[in-house]
Amino acid sequence: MALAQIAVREVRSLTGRDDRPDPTPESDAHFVERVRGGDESAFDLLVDRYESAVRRLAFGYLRDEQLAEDVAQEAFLQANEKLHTLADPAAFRSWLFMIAANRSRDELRRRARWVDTPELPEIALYPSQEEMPATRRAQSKELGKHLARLLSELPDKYRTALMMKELEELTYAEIAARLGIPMGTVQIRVHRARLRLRDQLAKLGIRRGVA
Amino acid sequence: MSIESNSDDRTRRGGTPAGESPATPSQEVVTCAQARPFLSARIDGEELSRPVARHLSGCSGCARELGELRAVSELLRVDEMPRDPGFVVRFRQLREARLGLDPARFWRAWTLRLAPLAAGVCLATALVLSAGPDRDEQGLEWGVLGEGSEIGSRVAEDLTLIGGVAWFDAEESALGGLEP
Ligand SMILES: [Zn+2]
Repeated sequence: MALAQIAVREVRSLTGRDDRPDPTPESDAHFVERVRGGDESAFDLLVDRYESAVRRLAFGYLRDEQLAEDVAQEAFLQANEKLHTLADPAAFRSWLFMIAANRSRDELRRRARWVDTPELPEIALYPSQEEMPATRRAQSKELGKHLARLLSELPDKYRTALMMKELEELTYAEIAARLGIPMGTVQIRVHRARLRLRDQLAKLGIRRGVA
Repeated sequence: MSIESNSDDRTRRGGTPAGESPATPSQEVVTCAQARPFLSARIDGEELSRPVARHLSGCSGCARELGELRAVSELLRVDEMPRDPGFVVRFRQLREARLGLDPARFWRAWTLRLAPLAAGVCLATALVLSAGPDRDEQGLEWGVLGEGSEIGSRVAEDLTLIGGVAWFDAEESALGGLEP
């Protein structure tokens, strides 16, 4: 018994796990520290915590569930591998989302080169404002492919700001802080991205509220 | 129309700073061209200067454009996705397949896994040595892996260095490669 206790103490001093101030047991930082201390399984808890949000983010870019799954898996793998480069363990979430967004963008570019977008039926796909939520859920795959293509054609800086807004639901101030740009610039980028998408969608015959 | 500089112009163009009592509307008239760059900010619930906010609530042309841009925004949003318990399982499999092949990682993982064992064995050995007479019998229990092992002498050597007594996961070792 005493021997076991001594051994445990030995091991802890070897891994240095008890040296740092302990973040709350459920916090991201806590799990990050555990992984860094050699407990690989702690990363799985982070995967479980964020898989749905990361898949959603990737889907927002790619509009394809299988692709979103693949990109999310790759993003977690990369985060797992590079975890030692994360300076602030408490910033795990935004760091992970940044990785996922970058991977999604890369995949979007790759796909845009060869994916064929289908012909759209000549109907208005923009519903009126009241119908919007239901329609969004039932969004067709065809429209998704067009959206992905249009997103791939947006300049990087516009798309990044817009997606942080639409998918991560950050405020302009938060986006500005993350990108290291002024808030006014965020506003301009988000707005221009939307204007551009609206015009492109209109060219495809997709207009709001026209039956 | 240049809207690059519009954020700085927000107050210059006629806004009263928030908190001041509203002046007469005629002093604060904003045109459509001046107000429209703020349509997205409006959609996103960002704070607007009073004149811009007032223009946007009263102008039917801007309201139409606001509706179009809001529709774009709605189109891009994605509902929450249900959690998928299988995701982490697939992640583990992928990691094993991918990283099991990385020798550096393999050794790091095993060193960490074996560290408690090594510490225990060191302690126990020290105790046994200091205990004296029963030394030979105890020595048998801390048998050294390696002789007759198919894993190879390199592995046996390394394991001996970090404690000597070890069981070994053959599948993982096969994936790991032998060079540290
Ligand atoms: Zn107007």
